[in-house]
Amino acid sequence: MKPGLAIQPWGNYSLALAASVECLRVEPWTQRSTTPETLRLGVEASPEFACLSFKACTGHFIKAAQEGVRYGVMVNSRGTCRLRYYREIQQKILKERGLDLYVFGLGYDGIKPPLIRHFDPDLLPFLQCCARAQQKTLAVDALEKEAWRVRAVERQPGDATRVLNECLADLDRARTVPEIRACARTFKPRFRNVPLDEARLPLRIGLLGEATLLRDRFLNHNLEEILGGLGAEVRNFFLLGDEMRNIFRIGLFSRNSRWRLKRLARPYLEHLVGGHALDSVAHALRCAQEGYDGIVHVAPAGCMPEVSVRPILRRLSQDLDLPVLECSFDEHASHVGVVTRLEAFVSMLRERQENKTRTRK
Amino acid sequence: MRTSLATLFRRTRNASRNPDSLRRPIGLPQALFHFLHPGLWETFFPALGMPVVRSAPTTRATLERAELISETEHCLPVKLLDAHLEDLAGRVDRVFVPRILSLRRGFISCPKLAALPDAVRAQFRGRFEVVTTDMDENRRPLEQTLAELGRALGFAPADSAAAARQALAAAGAPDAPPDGKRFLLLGHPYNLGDAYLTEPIVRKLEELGVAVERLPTGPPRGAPDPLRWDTSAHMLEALRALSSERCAGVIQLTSFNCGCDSMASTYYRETLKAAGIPYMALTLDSHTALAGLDTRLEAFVDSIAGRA
Amino acid sequence: MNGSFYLGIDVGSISANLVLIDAGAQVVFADYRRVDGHPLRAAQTALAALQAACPQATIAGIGATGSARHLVAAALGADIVKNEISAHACAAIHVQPDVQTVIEIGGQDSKVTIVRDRVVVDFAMNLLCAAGTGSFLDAQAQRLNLSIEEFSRQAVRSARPTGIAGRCTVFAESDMIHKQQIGHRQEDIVMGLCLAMARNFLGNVCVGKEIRPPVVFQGGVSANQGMRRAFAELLKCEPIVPEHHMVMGALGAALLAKRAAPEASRFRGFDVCERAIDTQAFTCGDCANECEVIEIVDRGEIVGRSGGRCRKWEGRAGPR
Repeated sequence: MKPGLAIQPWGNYSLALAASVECLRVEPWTQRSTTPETLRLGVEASPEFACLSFKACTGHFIKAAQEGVRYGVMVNSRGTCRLRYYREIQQKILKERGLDLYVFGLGYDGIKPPLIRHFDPDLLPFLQCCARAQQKTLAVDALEKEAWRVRAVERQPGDATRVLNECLADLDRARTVPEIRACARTFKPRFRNVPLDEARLPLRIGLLGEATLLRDRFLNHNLEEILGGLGAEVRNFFLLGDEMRNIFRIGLFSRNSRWRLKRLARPYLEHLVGGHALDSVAHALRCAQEGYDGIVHVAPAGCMPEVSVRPILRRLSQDLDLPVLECSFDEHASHVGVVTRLEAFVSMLRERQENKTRTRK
Repeated sequence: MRTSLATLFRRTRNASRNPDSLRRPIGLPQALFHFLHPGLWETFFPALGMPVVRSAPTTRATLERAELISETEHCLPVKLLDAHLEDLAGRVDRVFVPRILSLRRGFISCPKLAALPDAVRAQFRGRFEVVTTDMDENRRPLEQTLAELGRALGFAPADSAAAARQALAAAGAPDAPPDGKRFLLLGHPYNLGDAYLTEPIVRKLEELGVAVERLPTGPPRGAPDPLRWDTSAHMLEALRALSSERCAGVIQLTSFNCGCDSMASTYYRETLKAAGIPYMALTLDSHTALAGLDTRLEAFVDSIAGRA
Repeated sequence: MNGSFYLGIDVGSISANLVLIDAGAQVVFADYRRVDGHPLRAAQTALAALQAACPQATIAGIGATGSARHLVAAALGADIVKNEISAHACAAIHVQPDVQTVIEIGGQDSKVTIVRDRVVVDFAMNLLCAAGTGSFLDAQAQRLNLSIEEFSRQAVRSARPTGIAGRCTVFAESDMIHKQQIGHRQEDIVMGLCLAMARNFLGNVCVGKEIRPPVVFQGGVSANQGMRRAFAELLKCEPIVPEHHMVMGALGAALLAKRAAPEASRFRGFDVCERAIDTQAFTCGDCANECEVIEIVDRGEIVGRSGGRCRKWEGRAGPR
């Protein structure tokens, strides 16, 4: 039997991450989102004031270890925020609880990341595997964009999510790069079959903030679908495709390259803060330029980088007349409260939209 | 819209070169970065010929204002900075808020400090200008930072360099620790340095008849192992050097919502456990109930006395 | 009674409020009662009280709001379901057209809504902390052995309010006990609590919001004289407490129903108050979240569902 390897849940990207470790001759163990059980495990084991992302991820590893998984992998951020210490503290927590799961860091020390050194894959399968993972990531990105658009105007609530899930299941089965590409080509036609309410004018809402929360539909209380159901076309600004380009420093001139974002954010923020805080400011400015109706800023409660830029987002919101809803999440956040807030935000934006069209007439 | 905003910010950055306006007073909040380099800025600006206006020391009213005007999820030191800045608004037309990125080569500062000048500008726009500089030991040493700041403010290179040297000399050496077995008060310099926050604790410990040493301010000495946040690494280094013969116990002052401490405490606890030194963390926030603190301190000291 | 009437019902975690307005948007009936853990039953009793008071009224439209809005809407047959932030703002704008700020503090939550030119431009709701809500005040009054009315009267008498920590329930409680022990007068402690709570609200919920007068203060807590005084002192302006301050959410829902003016109301008739409407829960197994979904059963038929993190069950009637 192949050894198991636990990978942090990261929304629909989880399947792309799982594909990336195939060449290591391991069985990937992951979930599409945190579950109530893993969150509970994580909250019990983690330091009280650690951020929600840490608690969720820790719970995920504990659950994996309980199911007999021996290895895990965690990004080893070189950044300035708490993410940098996740792996090491998680390892300590697992050890204290007598759980035998070794968490590899994804950073480089020497020539190869320790994970690669340990499992030592052959070069050709490794490269193929990377290509597949990259293709799957891009396919997920494309898929999400379709779902955001369709969900806001679907006639039957839930259609877009159903098609999304079907597509994801097919994508998960696709093995080779041509298969993945062929699968990705079917996405648009499939969404085209969803009956739409053409009369509805969707609001456009940008989602920005901390990456794990933006992507984990359990932790963010299913923000995307709630907003979609209220007739808002969301755009989630965390796209792993863009992020990978930034990590590997390719596509320097692409729309979402670090360099571009820094230039964009400059009037409001002159230096990187850490995490995705600068991205949040830059994307908020972009939302204003592109005429979005509002933005939702998502962060775990007390998130060091994202909380630091809140006063900036507020100022920007006033200057550019772009409503911002600040959403902090911790393990106590009530779902009813989140829904109420989102509904109120959408109805406020609707009123603004109606006033604007009225004055235009 | 974008360009006009950009120019607005540029203008705030470079003070005008008119000699009279060169010597306009500058506001220094007695919070946060003030405690990272005690005495430094109070010497540097007057040495350039810029009068300094300080905010009033923290009081109960400062804490209440902090809680009202500052971002809810910030830690206490950043909230206090906002209240101190508000105190300066109306008294000066410019204040100094550095962007602290690293206090020592190889280390980094808490990420919240990296956004400070921009966040302060956003929050207090129209009430004062923000003078800032990047303090990044990974890029340039402090002396150079100071000299370049002087030049950017419009002063001659020679004057700027002289002021920088004077300021560095003034940044004082720490007090000698008390003799004998003692308690260590652990915390970030901006928590330990603010008398309003630590006074009740120090007084209570004195009442209980125990000797206390405050962790001296300073950058870490070694390499990041594993903490890379400078003030946290400095705290961990100090704890690793403790022995149970000299240290009766460690009391950590942490502020509610401090991201660094939420992670680093794992290491502090582990280190002290291995050394056999009792450890207690007190969480500070703007409403800290003193009754609760007293009781906890007494219980902690008693438990150690009982153990000895 | 003739003409068409609009009904607004606001069922939250603590209270169920009901308001009937006439075609001229005048309140003809208002009812306020505690939920005591049974939101549906409370809504039914309120409706029965309405029927007893105005048996002739024809209901032209119903609006439901409050955290149990979906449940109540399915059970009674509401024409419009609106979140309570919008409903409260709508009512405040109706009674005070030049309102700039609406402060609403209820049993379990507190909100601030910023209004400009009769349009909501910003709002915030208490996120992570329950210290600034009505149930906190209730608990403290109980601890002091005071009825909430006596609590309110005492607060007004205080000359030198005691400083009390208010960040979180636990802190405030321990600090209050400490202050009692060192001999502060009770009325000063009571007012101190009100000030701590108002300060906590302004610091937590209103941070970054521009609070301009006129300020309308409504919700269950606005009945408390001490809280009115605390906001007046901290905001340096007298908050306006509307006549129907306890039932503003329901009033807003009724106004929204009137504005929507349904051709034929979906109201299922006054006899819903006598029927044994039941709820049953089931666990949706479609994903790993395993959400609890509530089904509303009326005479063996499922008339609606609510709950779950995805929206697929929301309001859906009929078999699973």
